[in-house]
Amino acid sequence: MELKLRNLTKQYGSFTALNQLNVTFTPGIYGILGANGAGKSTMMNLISDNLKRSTGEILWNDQEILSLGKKFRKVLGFMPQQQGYYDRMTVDFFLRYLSQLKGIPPKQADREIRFLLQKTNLSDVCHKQMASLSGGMKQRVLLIQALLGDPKVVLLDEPTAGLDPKERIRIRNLISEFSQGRIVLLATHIVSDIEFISDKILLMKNGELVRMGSTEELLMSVADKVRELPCDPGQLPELENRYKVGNVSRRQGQTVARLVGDNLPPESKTLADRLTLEDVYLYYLEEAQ
Amino acid sequence: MMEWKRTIFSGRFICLVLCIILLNGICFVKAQFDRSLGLDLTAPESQLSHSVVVTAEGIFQPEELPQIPLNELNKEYLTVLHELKSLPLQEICSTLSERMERLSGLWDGCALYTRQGESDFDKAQWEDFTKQQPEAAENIIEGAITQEDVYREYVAVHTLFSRSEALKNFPEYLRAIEKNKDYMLTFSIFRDENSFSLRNILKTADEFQCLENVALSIENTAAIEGILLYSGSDLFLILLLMAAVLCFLADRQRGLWELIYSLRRGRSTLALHRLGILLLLSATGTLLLYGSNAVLGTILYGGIGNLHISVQSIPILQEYPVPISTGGFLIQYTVFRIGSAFLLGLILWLLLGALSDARYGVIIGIAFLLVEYGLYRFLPEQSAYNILKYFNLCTYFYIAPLYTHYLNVDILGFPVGIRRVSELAALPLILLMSSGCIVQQCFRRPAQGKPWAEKFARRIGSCLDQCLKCLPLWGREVYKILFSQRGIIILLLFVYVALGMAHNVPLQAGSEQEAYERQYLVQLQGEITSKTFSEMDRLQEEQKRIIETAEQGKEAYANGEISRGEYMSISFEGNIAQVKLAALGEVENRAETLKEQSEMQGFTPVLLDETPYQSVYGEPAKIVRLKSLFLILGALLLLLGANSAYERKSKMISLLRSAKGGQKGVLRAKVLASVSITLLLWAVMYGKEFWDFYRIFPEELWNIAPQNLSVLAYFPISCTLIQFFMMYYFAGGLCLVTASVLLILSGIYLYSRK
Repeated sequence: MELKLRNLTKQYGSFTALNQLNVTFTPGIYGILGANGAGKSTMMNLISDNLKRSTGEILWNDQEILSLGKKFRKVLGFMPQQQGYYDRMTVDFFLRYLSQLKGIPPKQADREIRFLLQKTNLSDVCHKQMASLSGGMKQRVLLIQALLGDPKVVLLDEPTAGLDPKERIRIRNLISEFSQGRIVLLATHIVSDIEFISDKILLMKNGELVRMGSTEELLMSVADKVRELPCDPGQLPELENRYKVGNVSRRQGQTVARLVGDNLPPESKTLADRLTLEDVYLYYLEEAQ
Repeated sequence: MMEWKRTIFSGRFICLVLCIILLNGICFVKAQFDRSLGLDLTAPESQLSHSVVVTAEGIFQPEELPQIPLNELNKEYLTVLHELKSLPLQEICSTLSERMERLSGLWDGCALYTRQGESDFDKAQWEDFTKQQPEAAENIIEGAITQEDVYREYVAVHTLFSRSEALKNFPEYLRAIEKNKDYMLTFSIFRDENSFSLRNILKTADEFQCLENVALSIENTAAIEGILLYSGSDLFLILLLMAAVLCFLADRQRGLWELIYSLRRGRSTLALHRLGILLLLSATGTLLLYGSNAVLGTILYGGIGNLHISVQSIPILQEYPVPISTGGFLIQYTVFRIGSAFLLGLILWLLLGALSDARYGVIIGIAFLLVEYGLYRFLPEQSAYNILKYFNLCTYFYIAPLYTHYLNVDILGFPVGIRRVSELAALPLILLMSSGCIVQQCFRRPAQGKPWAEKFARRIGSCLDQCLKCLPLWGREVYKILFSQRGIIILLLFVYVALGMAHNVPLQAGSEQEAYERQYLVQLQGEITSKTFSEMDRLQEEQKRIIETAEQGKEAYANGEISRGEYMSISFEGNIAQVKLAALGEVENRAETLKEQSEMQGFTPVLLDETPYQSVYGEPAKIVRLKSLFLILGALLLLLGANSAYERKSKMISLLRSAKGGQKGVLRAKVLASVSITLLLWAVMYGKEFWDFYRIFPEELWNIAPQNLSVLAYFPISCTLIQFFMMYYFAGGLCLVTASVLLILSGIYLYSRK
């Protein structure tokens, strides 16, 4: 089971939203990390054929998805960024409606809906209107619909947008639980969403894949690129101009700036054992001011 | 598939359908009564001499007709129809003609009997009548025949006569087409074999030739006419289809388009289901709307008539050149209606779905439909571009004219029948539009780049932003109400209705004397001086002389010195003079009252005809003024009352509350905005009202004192009429502004910090 993107490009006039993307996905969770406008949603829309590509191929088990058509969409589960729903539909009606559009036989749909509602603790609200649900519940419903029909490829575009930490944890755990034997692409700009559940992380910037690897690999790659420097608060603007500055903390009455980048000041201390994905994000994806 | 349940089988849609059917029924019944159930309500032809009075506005003394309910008149009509319908058409027409003559005589007799005591002339006329028709006179005296009875029967007979004549003359009509062909061919300009004119002449004659042997029957076909002439059902049908199409596009509005498009059955399968939904709705909608019209028509008109008769027996369908029964025609018409509704639904779907953003789709769709309507409605028939008038969406919208009017248009020199082409083109167009909709559904990618229309819209938006940059806060509140809340639709509807209202009610004179009073008031209009009274005296003397002559004539006739004809003539003049003298007396009283009043209150007395004032501001115009008031209050309620709800829905309250100006600043801006909008509505409505008055009120009287009008006799302020109206409208505007401010302030609780 393989999803391959070969030389995938999307251009809007002179603007390149996605540039020559080459990546192969096998079963597992792939976190796609990048700032707004990095090309994450473009990639999702190209895979779900919501957007016409400029050049390149998207192959599912070595077959072009455009040729496969319905057959590919049968194995696809998609949770778009827009978080759309019919507000006057009940949860049950909404899920059944989408399961019909997925071509899932009614009995199977019934089974799956009940199972997923129960798993996501939404059984009690399945007959409530979508508009009356909280933000977290709506996201869970949208996640359920993406998982209906036992899809092999699941695209989740910003699945935790606007949620509180508790709900984010819940969504993450659900994703982790349901990802067995599937290719799950999780696009987000929130590091903590993917830090603990992703098998591989793709770092995207300006439509290009900057780096790909497991969390450990990525952390290792910035091992000597992250240092802490005690400083005066007045020095911070200058530091921000010269380096990428992460957290600024106060310790024992002193300001400590976390610096990320190459050619860091020698007087700063290394932090090889206290690295986070945030540092990776800053190193690869952020520009110095 | 649940798409059916989500769209046309949802509770909301079913409620909408039921409301539309109800509304359609109400409008249909109203339309039938507006056309008097197809009955001709004109009064019988009278042989009597009437004094026809023309006022300054050209108002004639109307014939006062008995007020008989339309359903009673229709019952009478059906009775007469059933009496005569088995007879040949020629015999029906001659029988009805005789009856009409007899009834006209009875009508005059009843009028004369009522008026006989009013004057010698009327008495003489009644005496003549009793001599000519003694039996009828006796019946009238005994009350066996009343004017109501006569009118009731006359309406039935006259209506039936008109219809029968039309059917009787149909063969003549066909012969005239043939004769016209022969006649036109004598002119060389029509003999050019390659010209449209010759081909059209020949085609028309050929097509109508097949109706030569069609047998016509007189039947109760008024219900069918009523259904065909009523266009409301077509509009309601389109509204239903539009509602369905908007349901299809709801997935875009709800942000579900990408998701649905990525699903296995989210493209072609969904498209096919949606085609099925539109087709079912077209069929069901047509059957429900037209079916309800048929049921109501049957009730109103006492039946739908014999469906086996040829369709040309229905007068409005005599130009339909196909020999077919009425039942067959109705089936054909219904099938075409379903097909054309389906086609329109597909076009709507294609148009509105052409753009990613449903809003732009709706705007472009409406713009396109307006252009089509404009071409259909306003392009002259003789225009070189008349093809755009007839091969037009609107042809499929209101299809009745395709059957009631025979028309060939010139296409490359060949005459092409509009109806035939529309019928033949319907199926290919349906197939084409269906394919277009399916292709759009399958290949229009949701996340595709912004199409040209949206780029254009963005440019417009950018220009608009530049222009509105300097708008003050209250101006932005106005913008919010009109554009964000879409209040502009309410405003435009209001303007359309307000400008279409006629604020001056035509006032008929209640009697001949009243009509003459008006005439004299206009004649003597102006400042009341001794000259006025002298003129009145002169006119009175004139009438007294005529009355004296009439008295003398009466004596002379009694003595046999003059003939009856001469006596009648002199008596008639005397009769009118009596009325005029009475009218002059009233005018003189009015002048004297005004003179006295002016001396007490200190203003210049002016004699004038108050009809223009009464027709706009008087009691007769009360209903119109109430309508205006309700309209303006309704518009204010919709525009301003919804503002609080809108702020709440858009979840902006907390942000507004936290603004620099805070609660007071926001409210101040909203109050100013409401005042501006109220003043705009006030200016439109009452500007039109004043304009309607201004057009009919004599210019030279604008500076008179308002106390010269009887209604304003005790107005306490000394001013001119024009100043009075300024105060009047100012007071009205102030009241409206107060109401609108209160409306806005009713939402004050929303902005107070908790």
